[in-house]
Amino acid sequence: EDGQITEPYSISAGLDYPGVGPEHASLHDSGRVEYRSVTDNEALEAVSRLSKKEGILPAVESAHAVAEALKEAAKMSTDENLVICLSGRGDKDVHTLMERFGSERDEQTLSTVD
Amino acid sequence: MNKRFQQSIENGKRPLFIPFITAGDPSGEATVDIAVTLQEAGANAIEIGIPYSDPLADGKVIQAASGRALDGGMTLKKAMELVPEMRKKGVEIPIIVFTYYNLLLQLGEDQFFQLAEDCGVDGLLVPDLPFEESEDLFMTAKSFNLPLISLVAPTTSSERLKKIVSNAAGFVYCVSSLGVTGVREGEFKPEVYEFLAEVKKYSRVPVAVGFGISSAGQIEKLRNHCDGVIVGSAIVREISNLENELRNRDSRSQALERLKEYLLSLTGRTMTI
Repeated sequence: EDGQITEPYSISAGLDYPGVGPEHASLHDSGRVEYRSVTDNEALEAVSRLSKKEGILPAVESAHAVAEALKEAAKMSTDENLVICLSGRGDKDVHTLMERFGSERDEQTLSTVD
Repeated sequence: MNKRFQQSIENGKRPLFIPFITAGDPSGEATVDIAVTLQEAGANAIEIGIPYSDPLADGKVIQAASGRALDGGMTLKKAMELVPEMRKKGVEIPIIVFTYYNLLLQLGEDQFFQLAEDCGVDGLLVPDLPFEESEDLFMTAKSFNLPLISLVAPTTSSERLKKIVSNAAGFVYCVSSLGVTGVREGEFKPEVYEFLAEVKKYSRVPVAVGFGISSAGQIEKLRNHCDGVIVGSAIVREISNLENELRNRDSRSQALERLKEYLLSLTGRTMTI
């Protein structure tokens, strides 16, 4: 309330930021765009599903959209279309993914990498 | 020009000595007494920095000071309310509030200036408000006869420098080097002197240089190129070393004596009071 910035949090670096750009603020206020939230777990599960099903490794940030799209798709019929903007790749997120989904063998790999 | 500014800055002995401290570091009470000590050590004005969660222009020392002050609950309003306490204890030199813009925005610009008038604050500096965005604030400040102090850096283009400097109020704050606040050891780059000469060419108010100044030697080298120096991190660092002694009322006067010795060794001034 004094103007100090609240500490934000997200597992994905791109979303771990306390500000909202003016375009998004305007789109929200005008009602043209609806903004929804997704948890870290839902996003990570979506990374896993997209990778395994389609062989596409999304960025954790982009996986937030995938997670929400999957929920939305479940309410839709097969002849309706839904478009996901997959904003980035997940190569940068492999360490996060190894920590989350990794096995003992990955633990060894992680400790020898550095 | 505001009377205190006229007395201490326009007519102040060169080189002007303008210390910066963070309000509430280590406590509001200590800040009031530190202000008295700064005046005793010959300060021509005092910059009171308001602690902020995201001090993007500041290095480690001032970041840490900000953190300590925020933990103690300091706010822009509370910091300004320390100023009447300082005045009661005899501080007569100009006091300039140094705050990031969002804190000022949340308090409200008009509320700020009214409070400044009531509390005896003499100037304002907003490091993250670019000149191009500052016109309204500048005019509001002018209507309250309170200078909004402009910052220029070695990276400022000659075109902008001329514009900013020729319109400057109070004094011009010249950032000595690239980067954030923080003690810099050794000499400043030769470009600094060219930069200061350029600023002096266009300025109608005193020119002060800050960022990194931490030794008498540096001040000696700069004194012929500007009207004064601003010293922040070096003093804030000394205050952090004396943190516990300053917090405690019983040990505070001793701590303030040590702080005063440090300030005098830096500026080579004799005590005014």
